[in-house]
Amino acid sequence: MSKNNHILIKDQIESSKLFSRELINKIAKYLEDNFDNLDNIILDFSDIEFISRSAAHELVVLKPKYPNLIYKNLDDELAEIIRIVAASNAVRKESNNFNPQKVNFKELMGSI
Amino acid sequence: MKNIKVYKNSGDSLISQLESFYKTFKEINDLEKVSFDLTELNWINPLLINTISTYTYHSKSEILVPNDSKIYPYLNKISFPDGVNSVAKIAHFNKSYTPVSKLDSNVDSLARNKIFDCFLDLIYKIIGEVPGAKTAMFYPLTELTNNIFEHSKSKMGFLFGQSFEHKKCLDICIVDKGRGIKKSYEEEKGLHYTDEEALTESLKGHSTKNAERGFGIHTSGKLICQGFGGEYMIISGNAVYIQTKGKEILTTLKGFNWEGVIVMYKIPFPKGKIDITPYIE
Repeated sequence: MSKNNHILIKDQIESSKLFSRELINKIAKYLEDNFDNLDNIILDFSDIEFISRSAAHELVVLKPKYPNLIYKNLDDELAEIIRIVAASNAVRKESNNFNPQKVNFKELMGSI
Repeated sequence: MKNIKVYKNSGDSLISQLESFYKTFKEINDLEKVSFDLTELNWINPLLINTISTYTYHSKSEILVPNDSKIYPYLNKISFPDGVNSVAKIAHFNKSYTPVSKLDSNVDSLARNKIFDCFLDLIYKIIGEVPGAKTAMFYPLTELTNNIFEHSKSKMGFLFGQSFEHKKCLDICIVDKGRGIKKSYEEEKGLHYTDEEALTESLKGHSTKNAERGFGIHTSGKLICQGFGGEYMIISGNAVYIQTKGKEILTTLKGFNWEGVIVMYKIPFPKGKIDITPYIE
């Protein structure tokens, strides 16, 4: 198959926001359906203004499957979100300090 | 058909809204068809708007509100209780609130995504399009809404937003009537918890899917409360978690069950850039 190896994400998802895992999976499916070899494929983030944590995580999960994908025009804030999620994916942190106060509902209503 | 009086609330704090929600819904058996009586109300809070809309959709319940009542024009504008699920009806909305907006997984995902995309833009417009605040605004809304379709298995999600200009804050409510958090753990991991235990596990970041997931509920709460200085509440089954004014509270609603998940949060209007990186993990 011969296709342009430059993929504009905004065109693929028809949005400027990568807000769900589903959208990343849509891009992955497009890649698999259209390219035999994913070396040197460019994912262009031009005009992408937001990435959710879930979408960033899905991107991190997909990366080992497509190690030679090239990210282009990734805004600093988006890049930082992906970096944090990737680091967190490698070392799972748990919220061990979760210790809410258990309150009787009537008592809670009395506090209004 | 049972007539259910919708209770007035004494304020707009999340705890006040919870009180009127509980008083309204505690007499209803799940999915029982009822008539919600709004006759005595001159105002209705966002939690009641979105939960009554959701409940009415699933139970085919009815709404009793006289055409000449004070709140009728407002309810009409926000498309209460039927909601809207078209891009045109959300994109051109120009108020300090959103319409009750429906995300329907029965339609193709592209159409649903476009509606959600418009809802996000509308929320950003309501807070005044503050430069640098967009990511922080969208982060909890996207994480908590994605949960409806990824975890709850609900076919329909309801979103509603209302700003309070005099208090410079915005309430957002996200509701589904899916399987709820307790059943998610049962069905995905074979773990048997009470509603309170299940809610606690999800807030600790223990995913019902796999170890690398489960951050959404927990990190959204951190951003809302520590990043914005807001309030955050989650209801599932009979369990309620509230984070407000530096306190984290867990309580149980006696004789009550909401099959599904309700997320409600209140944030002050941002005044500038909010860096989300300390909160996302």
